[in-house]
Amino acid sequence: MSAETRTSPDEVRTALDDVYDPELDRSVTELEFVDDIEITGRSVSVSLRLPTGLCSPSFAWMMAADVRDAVLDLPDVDDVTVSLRDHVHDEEITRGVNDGASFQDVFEDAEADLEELRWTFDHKARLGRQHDAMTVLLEEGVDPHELVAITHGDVRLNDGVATVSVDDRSVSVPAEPIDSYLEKVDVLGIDASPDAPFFVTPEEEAIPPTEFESVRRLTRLSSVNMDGQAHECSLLLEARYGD
Amino acid sequence: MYTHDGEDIFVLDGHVHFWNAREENVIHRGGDQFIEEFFNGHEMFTPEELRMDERTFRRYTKERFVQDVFVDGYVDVGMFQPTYLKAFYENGFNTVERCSELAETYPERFVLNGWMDPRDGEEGLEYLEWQKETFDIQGVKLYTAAWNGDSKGYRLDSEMSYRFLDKCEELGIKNIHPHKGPTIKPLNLDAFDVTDVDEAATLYPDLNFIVEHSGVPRLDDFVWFASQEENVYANVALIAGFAYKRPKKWKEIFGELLFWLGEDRIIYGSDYAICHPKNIIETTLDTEFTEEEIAEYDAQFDLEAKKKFLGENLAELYDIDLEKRAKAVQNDEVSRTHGLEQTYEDAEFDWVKAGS
Repeated sequence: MSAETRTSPDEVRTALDDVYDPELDRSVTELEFVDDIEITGRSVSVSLRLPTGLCSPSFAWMMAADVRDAVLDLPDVDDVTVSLRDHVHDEEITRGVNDGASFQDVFEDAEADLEELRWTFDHKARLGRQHDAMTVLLEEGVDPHELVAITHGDVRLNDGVATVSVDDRSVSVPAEPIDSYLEKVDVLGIDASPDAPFFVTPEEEAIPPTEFESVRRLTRLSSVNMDGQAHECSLLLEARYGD
Repeated sequence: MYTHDGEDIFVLDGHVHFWNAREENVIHRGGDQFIEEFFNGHEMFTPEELRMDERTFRRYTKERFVQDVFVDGYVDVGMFQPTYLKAFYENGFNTVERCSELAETYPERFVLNGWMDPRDGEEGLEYLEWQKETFDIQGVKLYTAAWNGDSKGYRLDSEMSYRFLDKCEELGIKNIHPHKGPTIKPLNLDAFDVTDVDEAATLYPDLNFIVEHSGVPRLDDFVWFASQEENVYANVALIAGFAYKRPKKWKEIFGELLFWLGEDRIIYGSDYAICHPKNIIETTLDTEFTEEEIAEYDAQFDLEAKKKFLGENLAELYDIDLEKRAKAVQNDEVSRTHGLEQTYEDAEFDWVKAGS
């Protein structure tokens, strides 16, 4: 027992920082969906709670499964149990996810293809994150026609700073929004070779300068929608579990 | 009536309820869960001083409704949007029959809408006819994500639904109110889908599609097609509740609706009793966009836009003569009981839309 290395609650929590609610594009830790973490030797139990007992079972399932995978990836963990509490389908989801079953096995009536659902919400998250990444560059004085001409080869990330070559100059902005945008570019398999356009239309093509405004409206909308929904969920969580 | 900057504005609330979720009406665990979720929503969207306790919230009285909505809440006329949920509640949650009790007590104060579910087939068509004959309904609410027997939801762009929309046209029910918002048991992907309204709106250009809750949590998908369909409208019921704790968020969402749909296609609804009209109207009407936001949303929320939002847009869809309605409510039972006659007598409504 004494020779055994254990993981710590902090390590588990850090791993869970990377698990996102796909619909809200926010981390489950930030959203306060992680109710409790218990560590016994090399076994970890995580319990989750959601803003309502009627939250979409498909998203609840994805989060529970992602939590399980993220904790299992920790070096000092052999065994993970995830429990979803206070949900109309808490027992089915808890059992199914821990058994490694598929969503369709457990919910026979469900037509949901979780992979398709993931793509849809990764796509929406990409638009929202693209909006934020563009915003920091616009605020640094990069013009719309310059923005649409940036390629992946023009962007370098280093020590928390993104340096972008624009025309004959170089612009530095915080790396965070750029980096989080690139995560979704990667997940969606959008072309990120050096000559490929850095920002793309919803259809994942280069943005013609004349289309800049309309693309910008769409990305703003995606960001407003996800952010609005995140606020609604946090208010509901507060109404449900707050004092 | 709401007085804003010295201007009297007539208020038609496009989304109110009169439900019964008392224990004795509950026949399924879902019925308790459903009303509990509603109550959480009530706590999050309604300021404490306007809230009900949980027992009252399950079934409030006619008197409470009148006091909250017409006396304290500035509303002149309310529109019922029924929700059946017969799998959860023995006599239904909020049926046309139940709402008609209030509508018949105060006839000048209500617009009573009907209910349809295309999965009910022939029986459903007969029920639609019965509602038309009995209550002369001009609009109908529907809920594509509701469960019915083995079905976990249906789409509006289906032959089954088109039969019902044909029947609506035939009966002269020209306002269709699909619920596209938070969902009871969203098992399937389609539960939150809003895009089925798109094809229906294209195929039935003479019907109006008033999307309740503006598609949230799919505001993005909703406004995208709504911007291209002239007969699609956004009702802000429930989402306007953001005005209480997240006024900035509400302004952003409202700004998007203004940008994509324009001021003639946004309709006020409180979703009472989850939300209270008083604080929603006060906060929303006090919303002023900065010069920068006006440029961003390519729209102003000026006095004319506010009047349209609070009632004139919806009145136009229902051919309601607001001038006449204002006179009718002046001396009705609600006004007499609550001493509102003089307020109406002194009111000066400067209508924006011709013919209203």
